[in-house]
Amino acid sequence: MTGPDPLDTILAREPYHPDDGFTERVLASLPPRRRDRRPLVLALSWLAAGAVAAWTLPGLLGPVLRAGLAGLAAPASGTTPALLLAAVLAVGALAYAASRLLDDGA
Amino acid sequence: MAPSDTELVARVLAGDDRRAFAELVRRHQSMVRGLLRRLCAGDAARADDLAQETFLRAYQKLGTWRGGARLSTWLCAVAYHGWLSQARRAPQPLPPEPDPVRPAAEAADDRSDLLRALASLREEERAALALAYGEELTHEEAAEILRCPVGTLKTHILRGKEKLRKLLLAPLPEGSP
Repeated sequence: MTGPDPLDTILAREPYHPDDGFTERVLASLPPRRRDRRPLVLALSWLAAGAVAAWTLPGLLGPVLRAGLAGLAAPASGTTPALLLAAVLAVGALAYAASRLLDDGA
Repeated sequence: MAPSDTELVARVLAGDDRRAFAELVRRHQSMVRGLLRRLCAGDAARADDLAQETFLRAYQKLGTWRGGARLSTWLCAVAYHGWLSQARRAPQPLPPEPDPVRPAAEAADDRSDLLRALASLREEERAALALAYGEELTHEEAAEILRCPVGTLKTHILRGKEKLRKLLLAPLPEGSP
């Protein structure tokens, strides 16, 4: 009866190669991260919409902003719930966009 | 529980998650570097350069990985084709063959002798042996990577092993110590 082929034993013997910084070198060679453009597009859209509104409705934007601020200052009055909701959503969306932009820049 | 290769790949593809990609590199670097050291016949610096290129190419083409095959098999294919492409572009000088007067057992224990002996094989024989041994690939998987029938792969393995046997396991010459 013959034992295992010594050549098979030699060929099958593959030592573990320690990382030794290899992974770091690979990561350093990768192209720059793809940036998520959606927050930037969202923020620019808000700015553009605001600019268009201010340009086309010069007599309306001021009262709307004032009403929004008044709604925020006195939310219990219940006079402008829709405006209050819209303002909260707008602030939330802008805050989200800003945080994503800051994350991408980090 | 550690995430599977499939989960890590999904995270890289969805959000360019570099930590997930780093984990994939850490998991498979030893296998890829080992394969390339055999293909490069022991030239560790060249093998590591090719391994780095392998992972860079894998990162760029990760979306083409079919989840049906193991990621390690796919990485072996990327590594092999990178090596083949470089070998065809700029053939490397062959290192010296192992010393034939050394005792067989000592030579067999010396891994560098095996790597040098691989250099004396034809490209396809070396690739067949490198893929079929040590990387846990089946003959079918190795043949698919080499783009040849399984029978041809087995022929390359047999011929390569015969040459290696003569180089590494030759009986001691008469009168040697």
